[in-house]
Amino acid sequence: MNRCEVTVVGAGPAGVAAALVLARAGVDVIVLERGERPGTKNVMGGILYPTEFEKLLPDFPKGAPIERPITQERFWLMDESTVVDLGVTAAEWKQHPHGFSVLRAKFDPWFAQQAKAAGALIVPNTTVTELLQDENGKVIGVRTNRPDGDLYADVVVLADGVNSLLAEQIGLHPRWKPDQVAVGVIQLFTLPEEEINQRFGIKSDEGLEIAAYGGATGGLMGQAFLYTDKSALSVGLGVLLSDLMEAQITPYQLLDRFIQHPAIAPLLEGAQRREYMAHLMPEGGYDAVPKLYGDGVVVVGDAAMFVNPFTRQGMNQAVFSGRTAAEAILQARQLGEYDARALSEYGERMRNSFVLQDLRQFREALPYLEQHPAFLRELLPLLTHGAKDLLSADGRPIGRKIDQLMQQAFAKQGRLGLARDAYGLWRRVR
Amino acid sequence: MQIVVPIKQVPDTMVVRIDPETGTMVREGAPAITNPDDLHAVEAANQLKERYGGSITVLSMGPMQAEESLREALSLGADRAILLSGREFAGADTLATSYALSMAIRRIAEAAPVDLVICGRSALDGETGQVGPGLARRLQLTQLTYVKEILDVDQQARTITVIRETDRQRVTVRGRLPALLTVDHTSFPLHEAPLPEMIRAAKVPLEVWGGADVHADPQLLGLKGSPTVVHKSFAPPQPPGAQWLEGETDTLIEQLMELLAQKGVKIDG
Ligand SMILES: Cc1cc2nc3c(=O)[nH]c(=O)nc-3n(C[C@H](O)[C@H](O)[C@H](O)COP(=O)(O)OP(=O)(O)OC[C@H]3O[C@@H](n4cnc5c(N)ncnc54)[C@H](O)[C@@H]3O)c2cc1C
Repeated sequence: MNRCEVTVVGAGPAGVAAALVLARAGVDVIVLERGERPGTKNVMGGILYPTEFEKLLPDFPKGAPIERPITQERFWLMDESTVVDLGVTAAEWKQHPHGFSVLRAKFDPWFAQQAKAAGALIVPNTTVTELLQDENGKVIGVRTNRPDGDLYADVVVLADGVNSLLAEQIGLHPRWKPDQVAVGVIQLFTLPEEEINQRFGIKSDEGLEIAAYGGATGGLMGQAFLYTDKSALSVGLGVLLSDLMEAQITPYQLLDRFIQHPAIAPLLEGAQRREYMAHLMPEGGYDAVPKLYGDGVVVVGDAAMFVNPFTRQGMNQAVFSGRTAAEAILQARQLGEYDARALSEYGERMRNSFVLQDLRQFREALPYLEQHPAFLRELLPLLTHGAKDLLSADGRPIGRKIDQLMQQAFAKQGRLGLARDAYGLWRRVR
Repeated sequence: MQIVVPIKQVPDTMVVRIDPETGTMVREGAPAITNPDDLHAVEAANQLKERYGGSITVLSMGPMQAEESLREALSLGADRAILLSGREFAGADTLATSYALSMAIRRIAEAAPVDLVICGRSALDGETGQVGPGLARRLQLTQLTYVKEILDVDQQARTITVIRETDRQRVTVRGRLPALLTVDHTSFPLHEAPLPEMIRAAKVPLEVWGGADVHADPQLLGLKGSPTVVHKSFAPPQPPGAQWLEGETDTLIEQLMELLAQKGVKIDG
């Protein structure tokens, strides 16, 4: 019979972080990954926030395959022709970058290597097909697609990413609905390093990210982005699956429009289109977070819907939850018990963390925005349009322009409606 | 019986593209896989081990990433994995490669004599098929290429009997041990590694050797030891009139159906 103390399903950042902490404490841990290697099944790029990685690896990012530090963040509000641009740079970011662009196909194997060095076993090309339970429903191991493929364990860590069928199997959460998942698409464009530096006015050890809203996603709720890798640009967007279905548009079409936008196209001129990839992202917010633990099992990372609700980024949350789960397992191990009560510490610590608090804050704002589509469909376009209008020297006095803009705004919503919506939203994010 | 299987990690040529201007392979972004012929060499060794006992050592030369291929070979039955890695090995042609591997095999043989070396016929990326024969020459091994079947190993008489198959002929040959065999992906079908073997493969410590560990002459290693000069390489031209469609599968299918319809092709169902 195959046995180990802890089995981790999935070698993404969440699973690897858990395995790293457990292996360091001398726990016999096996990570099962369905891909040929960690990262092969992952969306190819991302911005990584180093905070949680630094807690595990004090020298981080030394030795890590990062592309560029992100030293400039830009927020773009767009319509078909206009961009309102808000940029943030900070001198501190030069010393201590707040983010790095990475290619997951390189980064994930490196991170996994750190867990291996600590003593975790990483078994690739192996898919977990179901959880093994005893007669009381306690999880006692996993079944894989390999011959003689059952692996028994004291605890199973579900780090199998978005749309965790395994968590669903044991009833930790119901099947997700289309309005609880977003579709992320991303495309890589290669361009010589020097050319990128010149185009964006940056040096080789600097990088920038543009987060674009409004017309960038065809007015759908979501965000488009462009950021610099070393000698490539990553361009993508994320929108709700249900919105795509309603608008009857594919994410690829949306991305194509973004890429052809007059403000984006010149940035990509002459660049070579490389991989294109689509992936789901959890988007259900606080109410969709599954039960985080059960007898003999914990759920971490995307599998637990842990993402940043503002930016849809999840690596930091994945690593935090992986580490926290591992620490709770270590405590349970001292008691020699792995039932739900012994593992409840994990749920407790997640509830008090930035991960769930951020999600809670957005619990009402997101549905509110969805129920009041005027914000995205009318107010944002009005803002971009208004900005352009006010700045154009077209012979009209500024006072009259403002009057006209206000009239347009109120015509759509009514003075009260607009104020009520704005106040409502503010109250919910506060 | 001690068997050594040299293996190589290669870019997946199903995915890799050829730069039409320079004629060279664009390796960047192509996933790395274990050279398919080499996996069948491991399988051949595994079948012999099951029949006659013994141990299998897999050996590779390449960057640290080649560890993945070595572990895959371990899961298919190998017992020990050695990686020749270091700057001194970089840029090797087939001559320098067979030299480095032969020195490593000599070192392996110091502990216990090597009876068989089994190689894949050729590598996806180079397609030369020279390394196996080069090893046989350097190590004075009986050379048996294109082996389809291994009929018998007589450890007493120190002979091996195999069926060789080339385009023209199929012959049964008996040769003296130690021998070098080359096999390709059409024989020795792979078995699926069971989970305990996958776990064992993850556990086996990887031995990493440099040029000095195998007492190699640095002048004969890597780029220095490689007289091969690539005179010219080219990508076979794309047939004229071909039309390339790009995009998402669903839209592609639609476009394709439309194009075919335009050209008057009738599609049933
Ligand atoms: C387009 C897009 C862009 C993104 N950009 C960013 C970004 O810029 N910054 C950021 O922080 N986050 C970003 N994210 C989110 C980020 O990718 C995830 O939050 C993060 O990868 C979650 O880590 P994880 O370990 O929980 O899951 P994953 O990274 O998804 O890892 C899960 C692993 O489990 C494996 N697996 C799944 N099922 C099984 C099974 N049954 N058996 C064995 N193995 C299994 C998978 O192969 C995978 O390797 C982005 C996501 C998308 C879609």
